[in-house]
Amino acid sequence: MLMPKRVKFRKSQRSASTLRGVATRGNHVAFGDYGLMSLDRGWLSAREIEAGRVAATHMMGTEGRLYIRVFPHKSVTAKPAETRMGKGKGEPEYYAAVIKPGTILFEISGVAEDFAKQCLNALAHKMSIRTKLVSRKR
Amino acid sequence: MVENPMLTAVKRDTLGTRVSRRLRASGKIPCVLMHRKEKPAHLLIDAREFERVLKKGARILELTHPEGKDRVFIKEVQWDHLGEHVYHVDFVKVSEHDRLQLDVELVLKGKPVGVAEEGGVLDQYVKSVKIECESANIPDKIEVDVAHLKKDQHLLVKDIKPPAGVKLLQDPEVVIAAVTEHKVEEVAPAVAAAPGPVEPEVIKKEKEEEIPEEGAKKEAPKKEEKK
Repeated sequence: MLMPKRVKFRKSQRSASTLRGVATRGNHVAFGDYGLMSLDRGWLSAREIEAGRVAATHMMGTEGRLYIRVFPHKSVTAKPAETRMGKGKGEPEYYAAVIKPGTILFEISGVAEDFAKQCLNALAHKMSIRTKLVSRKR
Repeated sequence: MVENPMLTAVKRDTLGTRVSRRLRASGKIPCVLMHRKEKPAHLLIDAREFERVLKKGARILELTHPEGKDRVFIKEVQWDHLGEHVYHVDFVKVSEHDRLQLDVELVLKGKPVGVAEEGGVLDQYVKSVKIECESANIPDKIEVDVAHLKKDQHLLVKDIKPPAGVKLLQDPEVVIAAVTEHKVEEVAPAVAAAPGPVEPEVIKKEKEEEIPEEGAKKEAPKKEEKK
């Protein structure tokens, strides 16, 4: 699963403000021919990104190329079950990418349109946010 | 010669964000018409009509507006964050012999030998090229034949043969496409019971924090006990 190699701080604040607004960067298909664009805002866990990657690469086999356009930089902490409140912040549980509407999550190149749609559809099923398929050609 | 699509625009008297938002909600698109040093004209066009024209791949339009009829070039189209609706359009008046600078789609033609026979993957790094041409001869796309490419071979911008009257403005040494080896994903062997949660390395300052002296601890004020 994707996660940062080095971090300045182990735990990050939830920071709802980073979810505000719409994607002003990473919002167009840059490397491939077709992409998966998020319609919602939220956190996309490294587990979801990995599940999507596995689903798409499994379908694609040796054809084409898959680009992952998001990276889980944010650490999300959680407290163990049946623990009393207090005693500080919990331990990092997983890493997540902060997603705004319009962010391109994945891209595909080197495959036919129909097949690219099938792959991205399989991938979209692994995401916890609503997505839509976009193409480079407008 | 192919006729340019027609579009009608009306004058826009009210400017600003709020007004523009209301206009967009009512199915109109704010736009400007520019011409060299003239003051730009603020206009309104119908969103549906314009998107229909845009889908056909038109670059040059015949725009009818309150001050007459002009041959215009679609200089820039701004979309909303989801790429569904047009926010704003910039039009520029052009004559047939005006030379324009614009981006045109680069299409790779044929299946490379390196992909068909040697099991490589064709990567296209440059999807569109900047060109200069007369407004009357704007190509829809520029095609490049890649059928001869073998594995580990690439194609540069200078290998593109542009149509007559079209000048490439891109750096000639930029790689546009290459046939590379397909990277087979290595399946990592299953690790039996990982020793603990894997965490990223924490970047620490070079100077370690000084350990507080024991005496300082003793001096700390004690809390008063409740009686």
